[in-house]
Amino acid sequence: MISLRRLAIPLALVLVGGTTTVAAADVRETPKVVASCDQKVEPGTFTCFAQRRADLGFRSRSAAGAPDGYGPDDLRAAYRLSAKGGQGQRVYIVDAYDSPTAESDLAVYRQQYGLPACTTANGCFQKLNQDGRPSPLPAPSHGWAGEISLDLDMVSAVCPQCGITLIEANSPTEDMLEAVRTAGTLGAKFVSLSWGGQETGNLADLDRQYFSPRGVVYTASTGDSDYDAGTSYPASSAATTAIGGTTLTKDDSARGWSETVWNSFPGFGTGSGCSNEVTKPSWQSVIPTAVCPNRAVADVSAVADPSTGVAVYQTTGGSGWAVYGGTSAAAPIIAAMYALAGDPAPASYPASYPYARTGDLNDVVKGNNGECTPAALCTAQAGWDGPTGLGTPIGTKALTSPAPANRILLKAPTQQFSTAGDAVLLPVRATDSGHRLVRFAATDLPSGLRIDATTGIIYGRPTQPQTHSVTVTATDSTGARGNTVINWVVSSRAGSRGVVNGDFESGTGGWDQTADVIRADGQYSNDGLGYAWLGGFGTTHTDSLSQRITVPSVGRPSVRFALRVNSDDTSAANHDALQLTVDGHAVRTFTPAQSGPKYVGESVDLTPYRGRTVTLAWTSTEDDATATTFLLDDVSVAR
Amino acid sequence: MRLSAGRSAIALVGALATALLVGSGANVPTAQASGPEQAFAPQSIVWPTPSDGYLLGGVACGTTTCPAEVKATHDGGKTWATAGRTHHGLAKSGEPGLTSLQFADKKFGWAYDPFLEVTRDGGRTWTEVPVPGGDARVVQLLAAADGTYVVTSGCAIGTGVCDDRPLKVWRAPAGKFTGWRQLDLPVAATDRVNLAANGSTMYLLTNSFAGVPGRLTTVRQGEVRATSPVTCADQDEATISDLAANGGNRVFVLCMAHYGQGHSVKTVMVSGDGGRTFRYDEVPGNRGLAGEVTVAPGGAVMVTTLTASEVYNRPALAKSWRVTEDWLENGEHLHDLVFQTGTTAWLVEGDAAYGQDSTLWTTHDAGATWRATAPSA
Repeated sequence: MISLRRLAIPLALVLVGGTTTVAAADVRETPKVVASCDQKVEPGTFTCFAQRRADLGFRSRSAAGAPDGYGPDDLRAAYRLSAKGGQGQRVYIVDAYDSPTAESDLAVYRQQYGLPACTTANGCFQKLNQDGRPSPLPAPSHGWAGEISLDLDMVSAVCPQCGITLIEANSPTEDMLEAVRTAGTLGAKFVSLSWGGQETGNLADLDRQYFSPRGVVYTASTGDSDYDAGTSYPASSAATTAIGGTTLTKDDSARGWSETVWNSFPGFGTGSGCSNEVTKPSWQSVIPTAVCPNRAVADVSAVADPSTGVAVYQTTGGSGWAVYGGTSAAAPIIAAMYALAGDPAPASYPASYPYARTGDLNDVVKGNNGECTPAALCTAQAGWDGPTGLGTPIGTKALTSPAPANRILLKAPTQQFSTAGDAVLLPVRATDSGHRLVRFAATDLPSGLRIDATTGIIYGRPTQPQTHSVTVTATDSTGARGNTVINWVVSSRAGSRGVVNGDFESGTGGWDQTADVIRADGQYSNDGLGYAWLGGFGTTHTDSLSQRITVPSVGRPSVRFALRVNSDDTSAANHDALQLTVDGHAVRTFTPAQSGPKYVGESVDLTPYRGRTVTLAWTSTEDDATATTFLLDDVSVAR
Repeated sequence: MRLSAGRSAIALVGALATALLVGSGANVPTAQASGPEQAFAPQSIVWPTPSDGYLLGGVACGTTTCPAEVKATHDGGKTWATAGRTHHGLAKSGEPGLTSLQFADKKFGWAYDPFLEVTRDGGRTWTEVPVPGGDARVVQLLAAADGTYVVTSGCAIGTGVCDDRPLKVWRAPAGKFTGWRQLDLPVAATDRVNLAANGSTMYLLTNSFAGVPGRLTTVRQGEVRATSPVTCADQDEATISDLAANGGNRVFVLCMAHYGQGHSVKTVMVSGDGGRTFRYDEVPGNRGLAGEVTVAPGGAVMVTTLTASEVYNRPALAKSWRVTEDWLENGEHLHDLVFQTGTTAWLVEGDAAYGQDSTLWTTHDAGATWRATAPSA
């Protein structure tokens, strides 16, 4: 196991401003690629393995207008996956820092490819901090935002029906392992880890502390710096499935695709190796001790070469469509494939599944990611090899639990609206395919609420206005688990008059908004801290804020709100405006002429809509002249 | 209430700017060996009320003498008159001297860093005050509504960080210059400290090295109420530059990331809950290293730069930033950026404390335009 190039300096790696820029070097013409995260990693810290095609820039699209890079159809074709399946499953993604635009970027990606919407409102998307709560989120990071977009888009491409929970660690340190543990607490069955670091410390201890030993799929990227970089943790963990990277190319073969080891040039390709620390797991007995006496990396692989990269949409740290590669692409792809394959048996080791179904994998037999002895650790060959493991999946059979697992499905509303102080009684129902009793638990319940472990009834009186992301978990006696997510908005008494969170004191819950409309700093609120701020740019811009409400069926219902307009140009020449619409029909327009130093109470008659459920929407439009601000607070609907 | 940059901050940013500009071809201001004598070289400005302002500066600063004078205005800056002289002068070349001024109200104020002097009559007479706890020098000071907060160091003047003894934080009751009580606040010897206040709430922000989150401590009536981490955007490549507060529980933190060669990505973090949660507003344009952040009660925000002589500003009730880049071209240190009213603000260009030229600038349109101002009678 002596590397012939262990001491070679990867001259093609040039550090620029904290990121690793890979310049075209030797071997063959290679596109310029930028690493999303700083590749200099100190012991005890982690880096992400996302590599963006710098030569294509952002907004890269083909002549036909579609984004460059492989999309969902390509990935499903290459790995023979169905667009169906995955209903009720949820893939957890652990990354560092926050991408403020993660959800809106994901929406663009899914709309581009005709995938079903995955939003907080419909219960599909969930973004949490490392403690499992939706607030406070970590600081944003331009670099990790690219990794986050890549992960979200790859899970969406492979498993469009899956829910997605993004857990954001405070920093790329042990915080990430804390986030992994939180995923376990939330009942995760599929966890994607597109990052890694050096093998340091007592890895067995880390495994025990942060990973569930059985019954949970953790897919971990093997790294982007070839065999010479050494094995990366947590890919080398005994608890994870180590995911290597390939170059995926369309061709005229029967499969229609071919794959080789991803190795753009020395020092830039998929990772692999033999762990110095982690004991060989039993399912790797097929790998001769002479090749690796310990845990060998990788187990399986998927596309990772930026030259044959995937389409990603990113606006934090980016400005549109980009093409990404790196083993960070492969880990969420395989995690989502596991989710398509079904629940892992609670007592099983998911990393072992492909070792029992090698016939359901594309064996990658060409290429290498370095030079080493024994060669299998860095050179593709029939059967297992380091760079690609056993190969890439053909469908999901290789990732299916050999032992059947009970499937637990939970039924609960994806959105729940309550008023602080009012009684709550919400039953959550669970069905177990094994017909066993389950025990319920919940995280991030509003203060004042509890869940009955036996019946699944959530009850009590919430005390504080806030938006929560509740995960209800049900577990049976076999260890099988299921969970569901409830976006739970607790409004204040004043904020719950015919609308949800009408005073904006509960965060963004209840509202659909364009970016950064709802604020919580109290700077321009009518009262309290929360308010909505539309416009104020002085450039051509549109903001919107909307909520679906049910108009009372009796009396003369109206929507009331406090409005403050501010503009330096109050003349008729200023065409900026705020329009209130009901189901798209304009019912009132506000102009800069209404500028004033204070909020003014407004009321709009809703009598024509009595008894109907309609969408109230405020939309501001500005041109590139004077800025006009429209501040909104204390919205209510009264009879 | 704004806290003007202290000597340690000046020295630090100067060193930082120098280090970062080396090789970029930019001009780094250096102390003049024998600069032209000036009638009055402004160094630090403060507005305890919109009509009452005070200005610390040097008179005829040279290499051997730099007596400090305090000018006052009581008509909003239309006219200025000499109020009095402090015991210590401004810094001469190679020697220590006062750098900063603070007033809690129109009568009670402090001149400090590294020495400590107090006035109770609007700057007419000044009393030298021993540094609390017998420490060697004052590092920071904040004249808040509920008392005066001082950060002190045991390292002798001129020695920088001499050992690993922590800095100490002291509080004296409002209007008093005795009765100092040490707060139970750990501040490492190498930490940089920023102070700001909202009414009787004082915020102390400490940070050590780039890439390490800062620590924001909330103090009310001299008691520590909460401590929370402050993490900049792109934390691994970022450092905290300044702290401000403008009412309620609103706290503003200025960060810069990816800095070098006179450029940086600047972000203003805004919290409405005393620092528990933040929103991150990136300042467009990466010219200049981040200097200070100042926020008017009405919400107007300004950010100075250290190396580009630019002031980024965002008016009240606006979301878009503006940058003023055509009024200063010298790459001088901009500091002591303070709002007098919601739209009128002042700043000092250059450091009189080191015998350099310095200029007082003012804006009456929240930073859209600036003009040089001489504080005249």
